[in-house]
Amino acid sequence: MNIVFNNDSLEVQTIDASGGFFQVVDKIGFANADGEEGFNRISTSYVYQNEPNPQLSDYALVLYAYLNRSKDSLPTIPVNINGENTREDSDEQDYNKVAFKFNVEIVDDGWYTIYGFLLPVNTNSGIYFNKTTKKVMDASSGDEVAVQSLIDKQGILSAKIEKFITVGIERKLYDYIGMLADIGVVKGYNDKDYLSLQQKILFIDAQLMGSIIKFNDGYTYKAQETLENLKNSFPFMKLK
Amino acid sequence: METKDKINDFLIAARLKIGEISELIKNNARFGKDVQKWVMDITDLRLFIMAVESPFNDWDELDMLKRIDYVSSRFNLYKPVNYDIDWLARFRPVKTLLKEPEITMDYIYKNVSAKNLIYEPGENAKWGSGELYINEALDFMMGKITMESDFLRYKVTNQDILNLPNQEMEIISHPSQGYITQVSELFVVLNAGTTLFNDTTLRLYFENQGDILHIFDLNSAENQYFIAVPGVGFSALKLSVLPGEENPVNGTGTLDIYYKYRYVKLASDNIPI
Repeated sequence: MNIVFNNDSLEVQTIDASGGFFQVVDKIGFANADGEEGFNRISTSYVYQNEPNPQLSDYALVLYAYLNRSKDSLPTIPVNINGENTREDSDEQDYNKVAFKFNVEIVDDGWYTIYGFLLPVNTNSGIYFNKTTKKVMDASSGDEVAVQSLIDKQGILSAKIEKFITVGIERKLYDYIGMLADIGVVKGYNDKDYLSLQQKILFIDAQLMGSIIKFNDGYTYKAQETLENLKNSFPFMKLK
Repeated sequence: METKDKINDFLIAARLKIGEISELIKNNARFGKDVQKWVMDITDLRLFIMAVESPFNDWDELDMLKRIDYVSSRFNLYKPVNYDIDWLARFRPVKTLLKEPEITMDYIYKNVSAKNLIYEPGENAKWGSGELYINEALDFMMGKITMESDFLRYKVTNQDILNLPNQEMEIISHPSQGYITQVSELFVVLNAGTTLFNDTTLRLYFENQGDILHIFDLNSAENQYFIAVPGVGFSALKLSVLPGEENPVNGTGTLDIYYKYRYVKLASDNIPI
C-alpha cells in the first residue's frame, strides 16, 4: 500500500483566543484521478467486497508536540495533546469530510514542533497503535516505541509541522494598547504616561513582528531567541 | 448600534483616517514641515486597529466601546451621524444652543455666527451658509424639527454612591422651558469589580416637575446594562439608593451612565419672532 502522509497532511487551524491551546487538523483524504476515493493520491485505494479500502478506522493518527528553546542548554518541553487518534466510529467514507482534530496545549509562547504518525491499528503490524492503551507498540518485541525512535524509523508514515505561537505576548500587547486608550481618555495623548506606554508598546510590537518574520523565513532559533528576550524584558519595562 | 457594527465602522473609518493623514504628511513633508505628530497619529491608529481587530484581545464589551469612542473622537473618525433626520448632522455646530435653558431669537442671533455654524472647515463647508443654519434654528423654534444631543457619559464614582443613602443625585436636569426633553438612549454599565448590590438597590429614575415617571432598579451585579425605551419626557434623571436591611452600602465599584436626549419644541409656545 502506498499511502502518502507528509508535512502537508497536517495543518494548524485555530488558536484558542484565550491562549489555552491550538488545534491541529489532518488533511488526509481526497479522490484519485479516476474518481475512486482512497487514502492519498497514488495507488492507495482498492475495493474489497464492494467496500472502498483502506478504511479510516484502519489507521490511527498519533501526534506529539514539543516547545523548542533557543539554547541547547534549555530542554524542549513536551506538550500535552488531546484528541481522537482513531476514527472507528465514523461511517463517513469520504475522507475529505472526516478529520482528526487535536488540541495542543500552549504551555508558553514560542516555537512548537508537532510530529504526526499515521499508524495501523492492526496488532499484527510491525509498529502499531494500541487503541486500548493509547500507546505505540512494536508487534515483534511487544515493547512500547519511544517517540524519537519513531521519528528515525524507516517505513513509518510521518509528518512534521512547526508553528510559532505568540498569543500570550499578543494578548499582553493588546492589553497595553487598551490601557493606552484609557490613559488617553483621562490624561490626553500628550501626557508623559501616555507617551511612555506608547514607547513600550512600540518596542513589543517591533520585537514581535521581527521574531515572526524571522520564523517565517526559517530562522527558527533566532525567532525563538528574540521572543524569549522579549518575554524576559517585560519585568524591566515595569508595565502594570 | 451593536458593538460588532461599531467595530466594523471603526475599523473602516480608522483605516480611511490613516490614508487621510498620510496625505497630510505627503503634502507637508515636501515643504520641510514637521510631520512627526502625524506620524505618531498614524502609529497610534495602527496600534488601535491591530488591537481591535485581533481575536486575541481580552477587552470586554465596555472596554471595547470606551476605547473605540476615545479613538473615534480623538481622530474625529466619523462624519456627523445621520440619525435618520437630515438636519441633525448640520445642526451640530449650534450645540451651545442646546445647553441654554431658554432659547430666544436674540440668543440665536448673538451666538449663531457663520464661524461656529460650519461643522468642519473644508469639505463640509459646502453644507450651508450661516443663514441656512439660522433657518434651521428657526425651524426648531417653530416646533418643526427636533434636536438631539451627542452621546454623553455620566460617571458615578464610588464616593458618590457611598453618599447616596442620604441624598439623591441628579444626573441630568432640564428646566424644560418651551420644549420637552426626551430620553433618546440610555444605558448603564456597572464597571468590573462592582460589589454594591449585595443587599442594596440602586434606583435610577426620571422625573418631570417632581413626578416620578420611570424607575429602573439595579439590584444585581449581573445586570451589566439596560436600555431605556426612548421617548420619555423628563425634566431630571436622578439616582438614589435603597439600602438593604442588613447591609448598608459599603461595596466598591462605579457606574457609567451613557445617555442621549433630544429636545422637542412645544408647538403651542409663544415664539418670539
